[in-house]
Amino acid sequence: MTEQASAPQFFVRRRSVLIGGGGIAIGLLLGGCERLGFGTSESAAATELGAYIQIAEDGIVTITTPGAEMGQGVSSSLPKIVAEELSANWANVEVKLSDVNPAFNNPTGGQRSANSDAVRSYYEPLRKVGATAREMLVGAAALRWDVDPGSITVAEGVLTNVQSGATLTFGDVAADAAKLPIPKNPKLKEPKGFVLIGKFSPRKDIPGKVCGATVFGIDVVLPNMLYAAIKHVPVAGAKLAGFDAETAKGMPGVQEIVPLVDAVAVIADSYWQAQQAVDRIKLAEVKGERVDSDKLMARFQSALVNDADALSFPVGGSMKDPILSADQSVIDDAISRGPIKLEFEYSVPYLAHAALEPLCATALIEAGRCEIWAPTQAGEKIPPEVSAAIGLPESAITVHRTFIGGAFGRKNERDFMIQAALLAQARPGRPVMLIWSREQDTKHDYYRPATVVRSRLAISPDGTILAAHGRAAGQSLSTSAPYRREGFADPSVVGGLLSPDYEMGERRIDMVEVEAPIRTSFWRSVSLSSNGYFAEAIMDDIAGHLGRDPLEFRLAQLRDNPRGAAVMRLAAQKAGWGKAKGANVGRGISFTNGWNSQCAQVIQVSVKDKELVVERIVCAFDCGVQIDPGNIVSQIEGGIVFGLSAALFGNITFRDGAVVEETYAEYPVVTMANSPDIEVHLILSEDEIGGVGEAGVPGVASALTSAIYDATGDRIRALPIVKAGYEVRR
Amino acid sequence: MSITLTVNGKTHDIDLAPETPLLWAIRDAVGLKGTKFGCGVGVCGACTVNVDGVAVRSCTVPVGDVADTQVTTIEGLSDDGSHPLQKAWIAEQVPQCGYCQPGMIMAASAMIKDNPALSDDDIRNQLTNICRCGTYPRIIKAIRRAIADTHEA
Amino acid sequence: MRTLKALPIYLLAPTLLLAGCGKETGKAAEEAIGHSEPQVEATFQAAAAGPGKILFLQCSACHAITPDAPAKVGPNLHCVIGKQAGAREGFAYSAGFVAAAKNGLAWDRGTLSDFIASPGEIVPGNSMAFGGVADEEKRGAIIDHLADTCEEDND
Repeated sequence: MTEQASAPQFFVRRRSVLIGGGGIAIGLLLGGCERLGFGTSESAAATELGAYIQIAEDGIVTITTPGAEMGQGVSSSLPKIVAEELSANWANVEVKLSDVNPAFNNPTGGQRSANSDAVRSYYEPLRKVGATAREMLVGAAALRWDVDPGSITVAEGVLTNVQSGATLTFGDVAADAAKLPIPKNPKLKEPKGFVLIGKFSPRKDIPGKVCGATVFGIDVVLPNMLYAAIKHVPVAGAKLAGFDAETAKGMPGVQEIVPLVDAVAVIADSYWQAQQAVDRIKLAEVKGERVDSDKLMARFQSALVNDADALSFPVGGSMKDPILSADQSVIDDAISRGPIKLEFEYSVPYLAHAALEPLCATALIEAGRCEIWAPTQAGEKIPPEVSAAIGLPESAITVHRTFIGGAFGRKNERDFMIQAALLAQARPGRPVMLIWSREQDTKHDYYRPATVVRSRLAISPDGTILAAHGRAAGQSLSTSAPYRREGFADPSVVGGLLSPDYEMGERRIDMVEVEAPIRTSFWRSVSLSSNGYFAEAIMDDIAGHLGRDPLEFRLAQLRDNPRGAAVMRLAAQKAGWGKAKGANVGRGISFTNGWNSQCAQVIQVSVKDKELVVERIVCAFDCGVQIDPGNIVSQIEGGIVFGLSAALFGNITFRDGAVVEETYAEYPVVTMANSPDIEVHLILSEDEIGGVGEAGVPGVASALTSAIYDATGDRIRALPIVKAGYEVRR
Repeated sequence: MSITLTVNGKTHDIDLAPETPLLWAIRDAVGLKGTKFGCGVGVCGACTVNVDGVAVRSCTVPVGDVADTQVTTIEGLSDDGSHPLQKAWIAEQVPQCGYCQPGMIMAASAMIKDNPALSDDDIRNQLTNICRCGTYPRIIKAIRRAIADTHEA
Repeated sequence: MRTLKALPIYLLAPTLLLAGCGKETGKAAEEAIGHSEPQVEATFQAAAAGPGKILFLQCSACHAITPDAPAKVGPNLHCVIGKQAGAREGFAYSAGFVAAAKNGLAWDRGTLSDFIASPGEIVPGNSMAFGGVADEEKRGAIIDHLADTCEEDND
């Protein structure tokens, strides 16, 4: 490894031996316990075929993933698309994470990983990247053999001269290939001919992760590094009014105290020393609004009847071609005509992201440049925002994206990287790693907003939904201004409040926005995290009112959606829906249609004396094209557990302006002890391509409350479930 | 003040205040980053290491309290990922983000050593480490696989 | 000053057996405590740290055991052997523990060992976030450490 004064400990790829065939042990054969870093390949023999692909003489193909790896597997799934068209041997593929660089933008001009759209947005472009490189390799081999390119076949990293039987490896021709002109319209493979896509491939990041070798944001090591800890003003929305750091200043290892707009940070020789010091800084009292959960929810409640300030939102179609909500007077009239009038109120709380790696980022400011290393989902937004904060031009800012220890939307925000850059300004020439404590991470999140919802319906005795009005009250997202359309409510809060998948007559979605100084933003599945619950809960409430089976009722109301019907039927069949169950046992079903994927979940519980056991969750999922069925199953399993934590426990509360919860002790999540059996069954719809990372989350809450109702007759309409007095057991 | 600590078989003289948590001694003084900081209060288990045969949450243990002990971290389980648990974790494709997994594997290794005949319910009750990505179903499968492979060996 | 009775029993018994006398004493001690055939684990560096002290590290995240130390997440356990359960001043016990205290649960080596093995079984509804120690011998070492660190007069 070359010693450079300010070079991070890069992963150095030794020249590896060609390995044939697949198999789980790949990572181990490649020497899997080296530090799997954010990688700049140091293989001197690697030829670059554009930003994405490097091929070494020994045939190792290094593919850069444009995605941010936060567990959803984009460090394998996106390179796999390239590898398929390239016809590489997956066993010989290594992966690099990408820096923030427009060369890696998706077709919509961004590099951020969010919204379950990595595979969807990069699928066609990456196929083209792989096919382009393949044709260049074929072209080089054709020149070397003096044959027509059409008489060369490619498979598993080997080019074969069909006539003579001679072979060349990618490594043999890569240098020549790089000199050839780049084909503009490479021929893509027929999906029927895929050998990687659609099948299981071992993920490239896993071996490092079981060895403790993976470099997460918190693990970055640089020479002459300093560390920082931070204490934010506890009152939501308040700025720093003053502080007393007399004690902190004199503590061991302390280098500098740095005030920020809404916080104070300590820079020290180690994180531990910085944290001990910042714990002893006293912040001055701040004036101004002090949010309180009870009072805030009361404001939301009274906002529900404020017709005058309600902003409507489309009930279907697309943002380009929306189906508008019915006017207030029209919906009032339709509902008044019944014949059966129903009204239900629901509520969901503020939720934290609570990823296991706390927020952290490292920044180095030197010679007019700013270099950042961070576990970030974000991309193109970072340079301009950091530039504005520290006064260096955008072109002077480099951002290395490390592996991420969980994100769920929080690490798409830029605040913690901007803080690190501001702290680095206090010590030019030395890298400064800012680490938030768990308490700071919990208390200064961008929360999934709480909402209260009132749903009013007019139905007929046969279950036809003649009119539906879903009204939400609560905050919009602090960060959704760029996504807002004039005159419409915030899509990230009310999108999907009424499901567009069921037949309904007149429909109206609207929201009364209530202002509060609480920071809110995207949380895994965004608006569907709450509306997946609200939209399905009314179907269960209507079915319950009419004595109809929740599955049969949904299928009867479902608009033309064969994929949706199929997942519901499959989940029901696999879960034994309708079959005899023991006393105290209940089942509920939910349906989610989002990110062009369809997801049905059946949850089975047993309840006795308010002790709840979530026994089993059976899911049927259709995301269309499957890059890797194994990884899809793991993402849905994980999304389900994430949704379950929220439905059972998640609850961020405010008292005297500050968040009450501090660590996982006060903000519990599902652990092994209360984790149910989970089965995921995949349906393949070849003509579609849908998102996976968030799709498992929205369906849990309503299927769970419906199952509890089935077991007990108790209808829970306010989350989390523990608020209704249930104790979660296994 | 210097504290002597053996980590993964190698002895180190740690020059840190004795109240410094073992977690930060391992990460900073010894330079092994596999052991993770998740909460700092012993709840999440991401910092789990093995001290003289016992699984310990290193964020809650002052390094001064473990002077002259043998500490094993995730890096010490094997040189190359060949520990039965690591192989099983790979075979079952357990990790997603992977941040909790070193602590999870260290906790599992102590748990299995104590009770190789453990049932799924034992695993559920005793493995209290948090995984926010929700890999619990695969962890149980991987532990079962590791136990089976060890018996076969 | 450590008294003979404070030494971990599982180290004591083999010594007596080897000495060829005091067999009965050793056996009686075994039966009273309910331990199975004692085995000394070679990996413990008993001289340096004491197995109980290391084992107690997993408890000390939440429990102090020095006299007068404030409660952490859990109550201070100084000299808890021989005391009533759920009775430490200044600690807000869970409903489960309040009930157990009302039912007269008292801590001796036996009840402590059962509790540490499976906290949720012995005191249902308690909020001790701990899975339990499966190994009987290790539980014994933890309890020995509680005994060793007790600074009350023990006549």
